[in-house]
Amino acid sequence: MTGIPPEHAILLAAILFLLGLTGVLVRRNVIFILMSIEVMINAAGLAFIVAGAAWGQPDGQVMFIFILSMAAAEVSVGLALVLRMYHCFKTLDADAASKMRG
Amino acid sequence: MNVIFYISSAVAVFATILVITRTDAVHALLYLVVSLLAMAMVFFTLGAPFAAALEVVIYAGAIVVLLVFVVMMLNQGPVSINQERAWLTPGMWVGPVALSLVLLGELAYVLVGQPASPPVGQSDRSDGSDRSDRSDQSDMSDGSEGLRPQVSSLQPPVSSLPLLQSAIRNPQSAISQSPKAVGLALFGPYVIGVELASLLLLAGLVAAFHLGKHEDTERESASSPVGQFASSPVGQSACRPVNQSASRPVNQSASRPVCQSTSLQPPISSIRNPKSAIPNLFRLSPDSGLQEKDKGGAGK
Repeated sequence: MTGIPPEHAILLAAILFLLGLTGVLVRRNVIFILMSIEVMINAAGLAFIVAGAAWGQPDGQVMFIFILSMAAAEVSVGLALVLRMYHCFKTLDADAASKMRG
Repeated sequence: MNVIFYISSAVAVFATILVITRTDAVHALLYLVVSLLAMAMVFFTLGAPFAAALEVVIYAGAIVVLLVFVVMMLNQGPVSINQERAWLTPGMWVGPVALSLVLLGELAYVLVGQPASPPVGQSDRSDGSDRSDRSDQSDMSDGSEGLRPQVSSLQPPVSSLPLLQSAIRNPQSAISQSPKAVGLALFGPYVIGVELASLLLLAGLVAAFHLGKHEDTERESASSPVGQFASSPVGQSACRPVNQSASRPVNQSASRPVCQSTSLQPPISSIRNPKSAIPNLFRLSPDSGLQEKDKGGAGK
């Protein structure tokens, strides 16, 4: 661990997570929602890295690698769903797909 | 190193704010790249260069490229920009922002103000272990730390390089930082996690393929009754490449065995113009047989 206190790095992770959550709640475009989810996942990975650096273990980076692969799978499936939604509804508005019908 | 961390974290926060407030998707993607790069810098200053490299390669490389592909493919016009701008009026988000700022202030007070006055026993214990860990590491890396203050006073961005070099030279001091330790842990106690991650990636691949393929078949099944009644432009546009491909040689259709749109459309055209019905059926029968074989091979 370098001279950075872990509390500040955790605070940065919390700020980024809250920004991503705000983006998910505020935006209606599905691509922006996906980007905000990416920001949130990234913040979670930062929290893992900070914890691993604070305790001097490589487990934080291992967890970050797992989070990374999870984010890759999530964004591929999410973008396939976005394409499918665009072909169904001809829009990217998340409110257009709010009805669970057919 | 501290200054780099704070500057890059400020950049990350600012870029993320700009990501969630842009109305144009491409601008937001650019700010997202900036944010991810700043996060990689943060990882590097935290002593995780391997995670920083992975962040740049996978996040800022692959995932953002996927998002850019979709944005370019969908080609949102000014309609969606106006829609998002209408959603982002200040009267809508001032209240939630104020409330979340209050929550953020509380969180900052809890996180930063805790070491000054430890009220709970658990936090005291974790702080003590943390301090001992840090002192251990500073003791171990004392030998390579003599040069760093001069360099960092001259050039702050380069001062992260001696840390990496010391981490490479004596891995005893940097068991949490070197990629070797990460790889050993990844394929040692976490090998079941690696298997699960590969399974997850395979599931994501299959899901993306299924979602992309299902759309084509559904479009054809939706357009085939329309094509029978021969009134919709969708059916005509679906039949147009088939009429073009009626003059193509046989190798053209046999060289593309996976494309379903060429193999499923000829019945429509055979209904619409019965002259080419029999050659189409004869011509595409090996194609459909190849597809069956492919599906059987994929099923095994």
